[in-house]
Amino acid sequence: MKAKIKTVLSYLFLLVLLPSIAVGGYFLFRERGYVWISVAIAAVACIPFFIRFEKTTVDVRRIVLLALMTALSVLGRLVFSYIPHFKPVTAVIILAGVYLGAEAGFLCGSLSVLCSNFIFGQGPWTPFQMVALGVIGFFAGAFAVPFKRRTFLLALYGVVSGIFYSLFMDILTVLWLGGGFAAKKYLAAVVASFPIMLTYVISNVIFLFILVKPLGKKINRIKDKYGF
Amino acid sequence: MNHKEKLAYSGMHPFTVAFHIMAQMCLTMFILHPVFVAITLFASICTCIATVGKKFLKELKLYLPFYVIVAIGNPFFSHNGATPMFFLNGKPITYEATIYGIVSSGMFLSILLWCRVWSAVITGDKLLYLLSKRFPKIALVLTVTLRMIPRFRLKWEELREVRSTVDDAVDKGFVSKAKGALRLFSALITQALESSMETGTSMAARGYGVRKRTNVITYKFRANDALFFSMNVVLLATIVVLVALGAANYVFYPRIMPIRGGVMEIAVYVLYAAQSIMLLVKEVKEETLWNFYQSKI
Repeated sequence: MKAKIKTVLSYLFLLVLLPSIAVGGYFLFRERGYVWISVAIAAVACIPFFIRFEKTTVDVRRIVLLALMTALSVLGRLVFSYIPHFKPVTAVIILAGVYLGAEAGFLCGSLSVLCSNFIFGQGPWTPFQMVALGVIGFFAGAFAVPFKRRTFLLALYGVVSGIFYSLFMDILTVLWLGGGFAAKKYLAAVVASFPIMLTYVISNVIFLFILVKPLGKKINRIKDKYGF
Repeated sequence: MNHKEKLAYSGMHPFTVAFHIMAQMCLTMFILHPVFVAITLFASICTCIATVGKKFLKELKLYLPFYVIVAIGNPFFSHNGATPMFFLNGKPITYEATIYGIVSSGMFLSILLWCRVWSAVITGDKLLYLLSKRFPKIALVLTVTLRMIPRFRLKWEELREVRSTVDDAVDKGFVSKAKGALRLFSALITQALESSMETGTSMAARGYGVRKRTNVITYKFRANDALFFSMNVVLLATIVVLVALGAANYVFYPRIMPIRGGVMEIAVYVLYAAQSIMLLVKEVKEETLWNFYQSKI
């Protein structure tokens, strides 16, 4: 009962917190506020997932498996750090979502950003990346059944998530330059980052094709073997 | 443990330090006023030098160009302001927009530098300690992840060495190299999955989740922390009240406001400076003491 009240309270807290950040931020900063408001909202948006994960009782082996996938994606970012934007991170997160469930997908995405930014530098971009990759992992888990059946659909999702990630991060680019958000500026940022978007898409598809067999099949096998 | 890690902030409770840096970041992004920005920028540079060390100057060379471009670029995009300096393609390049560009990019740079201080001072283990109070499971996932990364690297080396002893495993050309790497990766995954299951089973057997988790590293909230923290809160509260009363109001457009020097303004500048250099003072004080006591030995 007490735990339930605590959960309800924490969700209520979020319900109050989000609008108050938006409104309060607007009155405090006026037109300069967009970037800070959106960074704060991105950070707060991750919290419900974390709370849910804390509340549910999960098999320890699932927790370790989640940590394993997170470590793999961080390692992927490290190993490929010399090729800009060509990373297996998103592919690993998508596979985590597909094979471990939507919630684990979100956590794998957001935590691998948090973890790898210890090495590559934390900043206002951390919450943005956390939300973007978390959402990618979450929806990979939501559509797990068709993705497991058809690798083609999985690759298509890799394309979609590459485009989504690039478009989402462009929002931060525009806001970071200041002067508010305008469709024209956003379009310019999207055009400027088009090669990066293409790199994301290509790397996602390539790594999904490479990784789906060794990772996906083995996770399934491990789940059968240890029974959870 | 290297020399730097022994210093002030590592002896302090992570909460005290995290609160201070968070507060400083918030103040920096709230107030767009030339004097305030100058203070926080100067303080952030000094604190970076004190906490990050020599490496910082090299990093600054990477950061700086972007902010210089933003600072100089602003008047070419924004034509607000009443004092044109010259005209470019029939559009005025104004004095106000130039100053606004410099001040706002100084603020952004300062935020970035406070983030750098955060990364240097609140290391992974400290963040985990802070998280473990409210999010113990997330902290556990992060701990296991951080441990797995170096372990995977070692395992990869081990697998590679074993494979190199096999005769037909000599990789020539890009395709065969890639194939070889993929095979190693596959082996690594199998090994990692099995060992992670072992870890999980062993944790369950030792009673993970039965009771509340305790920490290996514990920090005590000492008198020093209480002093630092309460000073911080008092300074922060006073600054917020003074700013709410209008001590930091500043207008760039249409004309730059002259910087006021009334009693309230001077007071808030001094308080703001004190708040900004708290960590730096602590750091420098401890370092001097350390050197002083060491020279006596």
